[in-house]
Amino acid sequence: MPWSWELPVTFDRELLRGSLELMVLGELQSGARYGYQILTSLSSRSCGRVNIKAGTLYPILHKLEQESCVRTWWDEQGGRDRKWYALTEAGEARLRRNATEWFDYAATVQMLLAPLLDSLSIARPVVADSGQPPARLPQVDAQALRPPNSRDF
Amino acid sequence: MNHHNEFESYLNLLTRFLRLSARERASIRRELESHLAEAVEDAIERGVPREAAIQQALEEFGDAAELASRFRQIGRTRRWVMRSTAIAACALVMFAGFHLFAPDRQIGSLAAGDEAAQGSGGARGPQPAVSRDERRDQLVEEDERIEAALSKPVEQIELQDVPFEQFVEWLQAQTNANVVVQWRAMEETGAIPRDFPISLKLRNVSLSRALDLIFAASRDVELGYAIDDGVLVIGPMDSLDHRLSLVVYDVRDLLESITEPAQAGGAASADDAKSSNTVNWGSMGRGDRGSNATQNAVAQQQSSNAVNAGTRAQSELGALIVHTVRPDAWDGNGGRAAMRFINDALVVRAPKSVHRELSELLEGLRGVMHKRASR
Repeated sequence: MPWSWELPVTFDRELLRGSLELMVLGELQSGARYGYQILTSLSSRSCGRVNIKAGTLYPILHKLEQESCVRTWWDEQGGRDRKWYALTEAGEARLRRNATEWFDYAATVQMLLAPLLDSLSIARPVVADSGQPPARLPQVDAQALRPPNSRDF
Repeated sequence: MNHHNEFESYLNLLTRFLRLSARERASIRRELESHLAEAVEDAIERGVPREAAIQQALEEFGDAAELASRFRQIGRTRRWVMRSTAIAACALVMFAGFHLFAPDRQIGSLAAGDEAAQGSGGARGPQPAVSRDERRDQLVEEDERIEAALSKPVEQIELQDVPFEQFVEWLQAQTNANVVVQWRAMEETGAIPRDFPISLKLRNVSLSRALDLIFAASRDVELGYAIDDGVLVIGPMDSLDHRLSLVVYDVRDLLESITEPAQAGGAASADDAKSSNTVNWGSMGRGDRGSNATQNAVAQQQSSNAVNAGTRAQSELGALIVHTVRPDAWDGNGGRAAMRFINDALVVRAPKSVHRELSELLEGLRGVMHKRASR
C-alpha cells in the first residue's frame, strides 16, 4: 500500500490543541520561565515544530495563574520588565496527572491504530535523543494522583 | 527603546475589551508590552527591519477582541473544567488503585526462549503475569545483552569443518541467546547451505566479527544478522528486516558544526532558495513565524543565505549518511529506507539494522566534533 511520506514541518493546530497546557506545564517543570521564554524554548526543543502563538500562550498562563497552578512575580532586572512563572505543588500535580493521561491516551490511540502500522511501515515510533540524557518526567506515584481529601481504597 | 507608540493603540484596544478587574487588566497589559518589546528586539537582531518586526509581533497576538475573549473564556469554562478534572482524577485514582493492588508479578528474567520459533519447546509451565511494558523492557534488555555478547572479544575461536547448522548451535551456547536461522530464505536464495563446513581459527576477535567473516563466504547473497525482540536472527539481509521503524534524530549540533565553516561563503543563487521550499528540507528558520510580513531585499538575502547554509548542511549530512550507512538500503538506491530533514530533526524510516549503523555514525561524528572543539 503506498505510504504518503509527506510530513508537515509544523504540527496541525488541531493536534496541538489538546496538549498545549500540558506542554506549558512541562516547560515550567524545567524551571521558572517568563512568557516569551516559554515560546522560544518550546520551539527550540521541538526542533522548530511546535510554534505556539503569543496570543494562545498568554491566556493559558493567565488560566494557570487563576487556578493556582503557578505562582508569579515581576522582575525588572536589566531594563527588562518580565513576569515570571513557576509551578506550584498543585501545578506539579496537574502536570503529572495530565501527562499520565496523555501517555495513556497516546498508547490507546496507537492500540486502536495498530492494524495500520504495517501498511504505514511504522513500528514502535521512537524519538532518539541527541546524546543528551533524556529529560525525565517526574515519577508518577499514587500519592500524586490522589485528589485532595480522597479516601484510601 | 521607545516602542510605546506602536503598541499603544493595540494594547489600548485590548484593555478596553478585557472583561477583568482593573488590576488584572493592568498586569496583562504590562506583560504583553514587555513581550512585544522583547520579540521586536529579537527580530531586529535577526535582521528583520523594525516595521516588519513590529507587525510580526502584533500578528502573533492576533485580533484584539479575539484575544480578549480568550482571556475571558477562562472564567466561564473554569467550573466545567474543574468538574471534569475531578471526574478524571477519580477515574485515575481507581486505575492507580487496581494497578497497585494487582497480583504479584514475577520479576526476573523471563527466559527469552518463549519467543523463538525453535520447535524445541521444552515444558514452559504457567507464564508469569507480566505487563506489556515490562515485557518490552525485558526484550530491550535482552537485545542489549545479546549485542554485548556478540561484541565482546573471544580469546580463541577454533572450528574445523563444522557444519553450519552445528555452528549455529555453538553460537547459541556461546551467547546464551535464542538464535534463529531463516533456513528457507537461505535455501531459496542459494546462500550458505546447512551442511556447509565452517573452519575458523581466530584469536581475540568478537563473535560479530567472526559472523561477518563467515557471511562473507556467501557470494551472491548478502547475509547478516539482526537482533530483534530478544532473538538473534541470521539470514539474507533482504529478508532480515522487513519491518521499518520510524526514528527522529535531533541533529542540530551536527548541522551547526557543518554550517559554521560554510557561513564564510557567499550568497547562493535564488534557485537554491526556491528548491528549499519543499517539505523535504522544510526549515525556514524561526524567524518565519510571522510569514505574512514583508521584508526588504537585504533581509531577504540574509535569511535566504541562512536557509541555503542550512540546506547545504542538510545535503551534506544526508549525502554522508546515504554513502556510509548501507547505501543499498536507501530508496534512492532501490532500497526501502527513507529519510527527511524537518528543521533540525532527521526523520528516518528504515530497518533496525540501518538505525543501528546510523546511530553509530552519528556518535562517531559527535566524537570528532568534540575533539575538534577542544583543540
